[in-house]
This record gives sequence, C-alpha cells and structure tokens, in this order.
Amino acid sequence: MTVFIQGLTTGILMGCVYAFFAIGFTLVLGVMKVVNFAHGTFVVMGMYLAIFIFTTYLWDPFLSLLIVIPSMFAFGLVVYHLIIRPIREQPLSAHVIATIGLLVIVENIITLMFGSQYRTVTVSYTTSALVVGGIRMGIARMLAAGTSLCVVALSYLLLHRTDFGRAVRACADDIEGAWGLGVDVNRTFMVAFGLGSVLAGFSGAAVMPFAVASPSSGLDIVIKAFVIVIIGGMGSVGGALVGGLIIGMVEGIVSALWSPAIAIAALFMILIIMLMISPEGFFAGEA
Amino acid sequence: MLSESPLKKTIFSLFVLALLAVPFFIRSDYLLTVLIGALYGAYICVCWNLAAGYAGLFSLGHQAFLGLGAYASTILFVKYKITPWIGMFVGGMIAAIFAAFITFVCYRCRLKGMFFAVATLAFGFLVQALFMTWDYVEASTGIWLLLQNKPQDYFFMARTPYYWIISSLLIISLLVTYFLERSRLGYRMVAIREDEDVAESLGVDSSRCKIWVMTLSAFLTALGGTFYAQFYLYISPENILSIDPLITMQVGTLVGGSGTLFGPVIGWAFFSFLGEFLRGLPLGATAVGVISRIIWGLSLLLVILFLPTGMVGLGRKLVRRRAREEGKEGSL
Amino acid sequence: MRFLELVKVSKNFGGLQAVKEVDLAINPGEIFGLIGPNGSGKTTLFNLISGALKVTSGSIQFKEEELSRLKPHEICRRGIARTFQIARPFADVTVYRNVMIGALNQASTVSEAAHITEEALSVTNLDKKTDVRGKNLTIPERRRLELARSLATQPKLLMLDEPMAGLTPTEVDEVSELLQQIRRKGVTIFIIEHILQAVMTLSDRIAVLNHGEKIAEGSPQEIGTNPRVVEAYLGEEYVVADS
Repeated sequence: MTVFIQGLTTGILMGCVYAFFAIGFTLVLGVMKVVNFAHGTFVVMGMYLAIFIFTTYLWDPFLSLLIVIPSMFAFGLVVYHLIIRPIREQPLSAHVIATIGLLVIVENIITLMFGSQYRTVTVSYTTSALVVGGIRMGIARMLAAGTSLCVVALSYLLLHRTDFGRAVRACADDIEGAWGLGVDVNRTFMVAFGLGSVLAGFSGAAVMPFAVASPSSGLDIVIKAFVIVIIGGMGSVGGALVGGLIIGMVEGIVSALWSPAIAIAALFMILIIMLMISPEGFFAGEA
Repeated sequence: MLSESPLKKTIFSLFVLALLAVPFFIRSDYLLTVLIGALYGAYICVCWNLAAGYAGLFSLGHQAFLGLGAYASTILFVKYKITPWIGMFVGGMIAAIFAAFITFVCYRCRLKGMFFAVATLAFGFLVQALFMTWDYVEASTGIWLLLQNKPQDYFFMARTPYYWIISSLLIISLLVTYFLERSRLGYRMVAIREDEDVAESLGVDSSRCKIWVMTLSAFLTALGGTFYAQFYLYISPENILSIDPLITMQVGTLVGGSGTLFGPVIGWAFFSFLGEFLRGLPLGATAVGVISRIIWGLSLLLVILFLPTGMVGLGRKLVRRRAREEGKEGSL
Repeated sequence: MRFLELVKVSKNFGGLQAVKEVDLAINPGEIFGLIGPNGSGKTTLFNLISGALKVTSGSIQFKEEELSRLKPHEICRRGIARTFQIARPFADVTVYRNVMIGALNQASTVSEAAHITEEALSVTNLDKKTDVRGKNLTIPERRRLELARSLATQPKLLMLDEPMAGLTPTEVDEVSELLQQIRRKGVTIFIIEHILQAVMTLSDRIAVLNHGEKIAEGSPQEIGTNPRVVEAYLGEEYVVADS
C-alpha cells in the first residue's frame, strides 16, 4: 500500500513537471497549428543552459533563469522567423521534416558541446526530501512541480485576461478574422512561438536540481507532450495540466508496482486508447 | 506518362552494370566496407520511400521494422541455431504483421496525417524502450555475432559476398519500386497521398492500399535489418532501434527526391560522400558522427525550405527549362 | 428495378439539420437537376449518396441495394461517381495519371485502364494535356479533368456538383453538349447547378431544395413557374448565363 501511495505521490509531482514540459508545445500547436517535434529538444536546451551556468558560475538553476528565459525567447524568435514562418502554411509533412531536422541539429550541437554522457546538477537541496507518513517527497521535485503550477496559472491568465492572450486566441480560431480585427498575426505568432520556447527552456532548467540530462532526451519528452496534448486538447493549458497529471500518475503507480518498462508500455496503451476515443482531445476548443 | 520508362530503364541498367563491375576494380577492404555501408543506407531509404514517398505514409517508426528483422534472425540463430537465411524471412514476416496491424489500427481510429505519424513515432519509440529492458534479447547490452566463415549461415570472411548481397537487395528494392509505380496499387497509392477523400470517391479502397504498401515496405526493411546484423555483427536497441536509421531514411529520401525511383539512391549517395569526406578530416571519430548528423538535420531543413522536390525534382526542372528554351529557339 | 431512390433521408450536424426527410427518385437515363439557394443542403445530399457522410436517418437505395452502410469506394464500385464543387485534381500528378486512377475502378489491368483513360480524355478534350500536372491546369481544364476522371470510373450514375461554375457562356454550352453526349451513352446524370438557364434546358426533371427540405419537384417548366421556388430564390442573386 505504501508502495502505491509513494508511486502516486511521485507520480503527481512528476505529472506537474510533464505538464510543464508540454505547455509550450500545446500552445504552439493550438495557436499556429504547427507540430514542433523539436520542442523536447528545446527543453533539453534549457537543461544544458542551466548545467553550463551552474558549472561556470555555480548559480542555482532557478537563478540561471535570468539568462535562460531571455536566451530561449530570442532563440524562439529566430527559429520562428527562419523556419516556422515559411513552413506554417505547408502541409504537415513539411512541419514534421523541418522540426525533426531542427531536433537533430540542436541535439547534436549539444552533444558536440557537452558530450553525450548523462549530466546532473547537484545543489544543496538535490537530495533533501520531505517525509510525511513514510512517503518521501523530494524538495527539488516539489519545487519544480510548484513552479509548474504557477506557470500554468500564469499562462492561463495570460491567454484569457490580457490583450495579447486575446490576440493569440483570435489567431488560433480564425486568422482572417484576426487580421480583420487589426491583429498583427505574424507578430503574434512570433511572440507566441518565442513564449513556447521560453516555457520549454524554463521547464528544462527547473528540473535540473533533480533530473538527469542527456542530449537525446528530447524525443522522449516530445512524445510525452504529444500524449498530454491528445488527452488535454490542443492549445488548452488546463488540459495540459490534466494530461500531465494523468500520465504522471500512471507512470508513477505502474513503475512502483511493476517496473518502469511496463510503465512505458502503459503510457503507450494510453496513447492508443486516447487516439481511438478522441484524437482531438477532451478539452479541445478551450484555448 | 509511361514515356519516362526508357530513360529509367537505361539509367537502371547502367546502375546495375556499375554495381556489377565494382568488385573487379575495387579490392580494398576499406573501400568495399564504405560502399557496402552506402548501399545499405540507400537500400533502407528506398524501402522507406515506398511508404512515405509514394503513398504519403509518413512512418516515423520505421526503424522498428529494421530492428525486428535484425533481432528476429539473430535470436533465431543464437538461441535456436536457425540459419539467418531463413531467419530473415521470419523477421520480414514479423515486421509485415506489425506493419499491417498498426496501419489497420490507424485506419480504424481514423488516424491520418499527423496522427498517423505520431502513432508510428510512438510505436518506434515503444519498441526501442521495450527492447532496452527485455532480457530475452539481452536488453541494452545488445547481441554480438561472431565473424566466421559459414556461408550457409550468412557469415562470410571476405567483404565481397556482403557486397553482392546488399547490391542484390538494392536492385530488388528498386525493381519492386519500378513495378509498383506502374501497377494498380502504385497509381492508387499516389492518389491516396495526394487526396485521400477524392481517391475514395473514385473507388480506391484506401485502407487496403495503405496496408499493402506499409507491409511491403516493412518486409523489405526487415531484410535490411538482418543484413545489418550479419555484416556489422553487433545489434542493440541503441544502434538499430534508435532514431538514427530513421533520420538516414528521411534524409536520403527527401534530399534525393521522395516519391521517385532513384531519388533515395542519389540522396544517400550524396550523404555517403559527405560522410567519407568528413572522415578524411582530422576531427576524431565521435565528432565526425555528430557533425554528420548536424549536416543531416540542416539538409532536412534546407530541403523543406528551398527544394522540396529534392535533387530529382531539381534535375527535372532544369531539363524542362532547357527543353522550353530550345523549343523557343526552334520556333523562331 | 428502381434506379436511385432516397427515402426520408435526413442529416443532422449536432443541432443543425442540413437535410430534412428528403424523398427523391431518379430514373435511369435521365438528366436530373438539383437546385436551391446556397446552403440548402445540395452538396450535403451528394455527400450522403456518395458515402462521404453518414446518413442520420432514412435510406438511400441504388438498384435496390442500400448504400447508407457502404464506404465511399464501395459506392463508386457500384457505379456512382461524383465531382466536387471546387475541383480537386491530384495536384502533383499528371492529367493522364489522374484519369487512370478513375479508370482503375472497373479496369482489371493497367492496359485496360489505359484504354478507358484515353477515351475519357478525348471525350473531354484533354488529350493534348496529358502530361500537365494537376496543379498547373486552368479552372476550366480542372473541371474537365474532374469530369474525365469521374467518367473513367465507368459510372451508371454521374453526380456533378456545379460543373459550370466560373465558366464563360461558351464554355457552359460546351459542357452542356458534353453532358448530353454522355447521357446518350447511357449514363444517368444528377446535376447540382446554379446557372439556372443551363440546368433548366439540360434537365428532364428538377428538384428544389431549401433549408434542407425538398420544396418542389417536376419538369423544368413546372419548376420555373412554381411560386415557392421563386420565393426561395428571392433576395438571392441568380446566375443566368447570357445567351
């Protein structure tokens, strides 16, 4: 029983983290209908930026956000301008190829600069945990989960309570209409993509206190993001949280009771079931 | 229309002749190994092109078929002493069954386009993850095969027999592509690629066609997997089930020209040369691999942005422009 | 045997009722017109017959076989072909190949299909354009390709969705003449059209849809003088090709 609850607890914490990984992805997908296979690799970029800043300046990953956030934003703007904008209106196969190309480039540049072995960041609270009734909750994990929840809330507010958010949602629904309303669609998309990249990098840095990074983690992350989007719906921030929690809990419980390998199979099963029931996602249309 | 075929037949015959001639001029083991590697890459590109280029079935998990073929024949040999010559067909059948299954599931759940791509991506990823932890196949350690002289078991000491095998495989796959292009299935899969709904309204049973094409492609790919195992003598989830072979397939096919007969071969030939060129530079082995991949990624981007029809498409455009200019001169 | 028969066919999209209990019967060898203001459900009706959409209720029978459970390609196999309102050629494929795909519907070999293709191409005057890719055709050429492609499937019933839209008066006449020719070969034609003068001259009988319901049916004369029909079109800009 304790095993189950431990699995569940860790699962919920990780679920928040997975949601964090997926917010940027669902945003970009929902708003400009672009599938960014390189999103997971953007998360990895955030991880390695945090690693680099830590090894050079000994800054806590959360402190390094001061550098990570603007860098990822600038990076996102450049990528949008050079790659995303030209392919936006092309068929899906173009998105797939281009973003896979991007994935490969970024992943291998990271490998070139940092090598392909696993890297970690060890801060004072990396191994600390809160133990409640025999259930261990890592401080670093809780910090990341908490940050994720704040970011989810902020993103929701941004999308629903600000002018920018309204512009974004207008573009997501109907580009022609948005133009008619005076929205600079291109600039909105560019900023949205920049934001998506920031969210990716942010999540990567936020998990470094406890996570293990490798250049090839990107694919794993983006697949999880896909499952989350399929559960939660394209463009839905709330849906991303729900989706993240679901896969986090499934992974946590199955890993604890059986094994991590079975957990992967379980996630795959979820994906298949979700695709069968509703490829668009339960929360579709919320964004 | 079908007036293209005399040209294709000529090019094809020249290509076959060149392939046949090579072993008589090239004796160096190193060069033969490089060539074999290049032909192998071209082979898997041609196989992927069948599904992705002609039928528009963007399979992002095709490496799973490669791995299934390699592991099937290897396990059968290592554990049950069944010769890989038979094992490779078993592997092919297993891959074919999985391919048919996935395509059917995607059809039932109406997963097209992006969702099909994601489903195959997840499939490829799942197979790799499972093999990484499955002890029956030695998990992440992988399986080593012994270099030996046992032709009846698909082992050769010299390089040349391997060269003949992969050349034959490549020629067979090109022939399959050529005849498929001209067959009823071939016409239909192009229609499905272009506009599935319209194709259906013209009587095309799209699910059946898709299943046939994926199955065929998966079967051939799996044969390549067995070849990989028998030539390189080491398989693991990290090499044959990773995204690397998939990137090879994409890069060669797309840069060369997807949906064309020679595109994948031309495309991969280009990258083979590039790879060899890089290996000549004083960079160190791992750096060469990484830089090659960066170039692959860059090529994918550049192809999509600037040359979506690939090298073959570019060639055709130039030929047409020449023809038009000459036509204009003639009418003066 | 009855040819095409629709009995109380309805289609709902969530709350919206696009087609409401339509009864229709088409006789073999006739040219049957379907008219009505925009949004009256004409194309939806075509989609229901061709299998692109599922019927919410009602039955569609072709030669006494129920179609509503069949898939689009099965329906085409049974001899019903359709064109689309906005022509959808296979863009990266040559005209020849476009039509071949239709021809393969009934042909059992590629060479048989080639014969059918050549015939369809000459009937629609596309035989000089066989090597042009779909995306490089002009609008009238695309319409002819749609027609050639559908003809190649050797249909018994040909359903045309606004085949004359966007054509000049001369082109409209050419298409009319072509359709008469096709009918003389034994193909029944079911045509949606907005160019009223053309559809009135061409059709043996006409049905009128408005808001998904059939409000009138009869000879072109009867339809032309039916007050309900005129009322349905009031406020609608009517396209009458200049003679």
